Amino acid sequence: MMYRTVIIEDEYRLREALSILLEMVAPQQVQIVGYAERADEAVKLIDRLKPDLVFMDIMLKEGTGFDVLHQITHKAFHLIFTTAYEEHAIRAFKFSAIDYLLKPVDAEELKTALERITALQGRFLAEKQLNELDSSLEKTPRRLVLPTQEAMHVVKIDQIIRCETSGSYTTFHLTQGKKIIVSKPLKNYEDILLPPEFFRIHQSHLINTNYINSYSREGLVQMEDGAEVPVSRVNKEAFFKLMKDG
Amino acid sequence: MIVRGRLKKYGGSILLCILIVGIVRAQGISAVEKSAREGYAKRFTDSTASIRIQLEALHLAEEKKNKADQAICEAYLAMTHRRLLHLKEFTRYAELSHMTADATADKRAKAFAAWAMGSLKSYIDDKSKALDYLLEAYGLFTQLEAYDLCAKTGADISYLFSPGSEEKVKKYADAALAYAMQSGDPENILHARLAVGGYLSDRTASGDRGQWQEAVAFFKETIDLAEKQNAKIISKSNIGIAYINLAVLYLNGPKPTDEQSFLSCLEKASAIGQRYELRNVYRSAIGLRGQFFLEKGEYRIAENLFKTGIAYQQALPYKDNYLLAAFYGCLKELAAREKDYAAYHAYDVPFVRYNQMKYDESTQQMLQNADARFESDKKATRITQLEQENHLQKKNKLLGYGIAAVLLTGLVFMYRSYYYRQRYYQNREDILRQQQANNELRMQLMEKETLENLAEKLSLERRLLQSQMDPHFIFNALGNIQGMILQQDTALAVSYLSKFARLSRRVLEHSRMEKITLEEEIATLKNYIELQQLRLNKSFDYHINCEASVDLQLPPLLIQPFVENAIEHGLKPLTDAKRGLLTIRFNERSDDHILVCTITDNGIGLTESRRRKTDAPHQSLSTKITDERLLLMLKDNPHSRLEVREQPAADGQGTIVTLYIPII
Repeated sequence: MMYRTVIIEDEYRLREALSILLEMVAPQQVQIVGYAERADEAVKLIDRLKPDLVFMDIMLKEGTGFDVLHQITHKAFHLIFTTAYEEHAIRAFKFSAIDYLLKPVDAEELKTALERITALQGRFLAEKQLNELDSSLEKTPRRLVLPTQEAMHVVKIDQIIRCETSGSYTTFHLTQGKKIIVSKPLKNYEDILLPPEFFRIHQSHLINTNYINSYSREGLVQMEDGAEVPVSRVNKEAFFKLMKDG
Repeated sequence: MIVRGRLKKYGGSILLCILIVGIVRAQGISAVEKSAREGYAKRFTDSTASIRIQLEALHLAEEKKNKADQAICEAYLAMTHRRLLHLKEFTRYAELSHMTADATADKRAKAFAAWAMGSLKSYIDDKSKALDYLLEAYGLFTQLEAYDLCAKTGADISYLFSPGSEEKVKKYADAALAYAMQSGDPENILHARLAVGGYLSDRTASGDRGQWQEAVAFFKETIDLAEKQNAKIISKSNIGIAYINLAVLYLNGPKPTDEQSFLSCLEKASAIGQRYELRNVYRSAIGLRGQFFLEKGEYRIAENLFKTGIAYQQALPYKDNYLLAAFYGCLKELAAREKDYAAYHAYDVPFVRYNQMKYDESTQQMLQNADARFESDKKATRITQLEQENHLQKKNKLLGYGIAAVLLTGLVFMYRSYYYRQRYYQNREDILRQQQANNELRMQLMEKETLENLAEKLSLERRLLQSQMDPHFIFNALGNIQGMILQQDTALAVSYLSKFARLSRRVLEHSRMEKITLEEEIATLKNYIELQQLRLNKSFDYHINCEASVDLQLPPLLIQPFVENAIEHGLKPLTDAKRGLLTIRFNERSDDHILVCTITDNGIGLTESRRRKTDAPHQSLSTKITDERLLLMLKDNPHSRLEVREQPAADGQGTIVTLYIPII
């Protein structure tokens, strides 16, 4: 399938760089149909061309990429944000499970991002994901979007009991025995689910400290769902300190 | 010469520890003082008994509520602890004595207290206070005709004036000797003669042969007298010191040195040192002999002497690191002269060790003395305060009597006076308490402020670097380079890359500097602006007008964030229809040392820029930090400030930022 693609980027040279890279990485997959530098232009362009794929810069000449998303009516496209360095925005992308690329764009990362899109088999960005983006930009987001093969799950953060990783998958154990498996590494969530509420007690475990039932000096934590989670040696000290102070 | 310097120091402190025995004028001496003095006399032979006897005397004085005797006992105890090198107890008793004596009108008690305090101050290296106290003691003892104590304090004063005031050294040494002769006590005479001998020896430094002979003759006479009265002299170290001083005179005297006299003096001194376990005397005797033979080239004798000295040192429970270092230093020199480098190295190891310990010790000692000085001064201030309060209370008492008289004239009047008096007390106390609390609070605040200021500055410095190399700017620049490469515009990529490298280097360097010249600042700004021009496809022009001297110095990295703002938020959003213009102007205001920097752009203006960015997640960290820095500077220089305003539409839109930067 050929994706009809637009690039929203206010710097001429960065826009050129991305198009050349796309040409190099996926000449059979991507067809660039338009560019925009300014937020208002971008809104018009997207609504007019109804693209399948949008690369969106955050800082635009008039307004931001977020403004554009608010104003468009056509929303059936894959979205990839591009950013040079916006910690706050990157955190929000992680919470709302929106794809993003860091500038200067790495060819391999670009390729992987396109492969993820292909895997979605024509299922576009969910409306609720965009809605989540706004709340994710708040200082302490209360919800997290977990993308799976079947759907975009929006879960309340205070209902996450623990996360367990196996390879590049992460299993979320929620209250009432619910389980969601996403194909993202635990590291991705460790960066946004932060202490003191969350704590990475083990290479494979991130727990919500509000759901701790008990813990022993030997290094076993019992969670409210009955699971016993080991505390690794390197994290022991920091964990006990957190328990004592928190 | 190490040994000699050390000897003088020891000489001073030992001489200060001389005791008072024998013929003291009988009148005015109580039984208690007498027994304290007897106890004091035992401090060399049996320090335990010495202190016990003195404490008993002190209890007796306390029981009899005789403040004068109590002060004297405390002074003796202070001097005993001085001899035992117990600084804490020494300090405690000297101060007790001083306080007790203050509560009496007794001159003798006051004199003793001043003597003890003077010795304390001298011990902790507070020369000027020591002189104040000792001169007070000396004056009082003179009035009391206590000649033995006049002699003792006089000699001490003479030492304190050395080496600053030759005239006074002589005056007090001579006076001390005269008083000592009058008291007839051999102990005192020897002590005073050593003081006189001290200035006679010092005079020989000029090389005058007549004066040298006079000094030698004087010491010989001193030694003769001391040997004759040996039995009556308790402080044997003074005899040893006399021998050593004479030996030093021979060594520094006309060449060739009278070797035989020199050596015989030191043999005597060494014998005295060994017999009475006077470490200082013994070590000085050995050290001087070793030095002598070393100079003479008789290395074996010298080596044996130094080794004996070290062995003696090592056998003692108390190690004198200063001397051990000195002896090993001498052995080192000896080995070097013999070109025996293996031995040199073998001696160097202990030398370094003891030298370090010596250094640590002396540092510690200095700190201890400084502590003691501070504590002692603090107490003195408190005493003065108490005295003043006492004084006030006495006054108030008088006031009370006056009121009592008025009382007879009318009950109402009395009541009112009483009421006001109470009010007065209450108010005074309240005010005092308030003042004290205020003072404490102010101190705390000041301390806190300084610390906070420092912390603030430090964290600012740290964040400064982060902000100037704004990650957004860095990655954007790298993205641009990537674009140029992908577009195969190699020449541009290379030029951009080297400009970027130069800017990075400058910012790194400047972030570590306190100040840079205006010339450097302008070069950095140009570098930065040109990078931005390349990035934004030359969509704007710039001018830098400098009407100030380019050599003046200013804090680094202050201006760039405002230029960045002007470009990113003013010029970059401009549409192609309008060409951007950035102007930076520098003016010097020499009357208040201010550099005025005006950054003008014809961009979209403040209001528009704010409107557009209402929900933008990115905010300019560097401008925020620069604001903080200016605020910090504001504390130092009230003229530094920052002004941001919009250009009137008539002048074609845009923003004007004016920075008032203190010139360093």
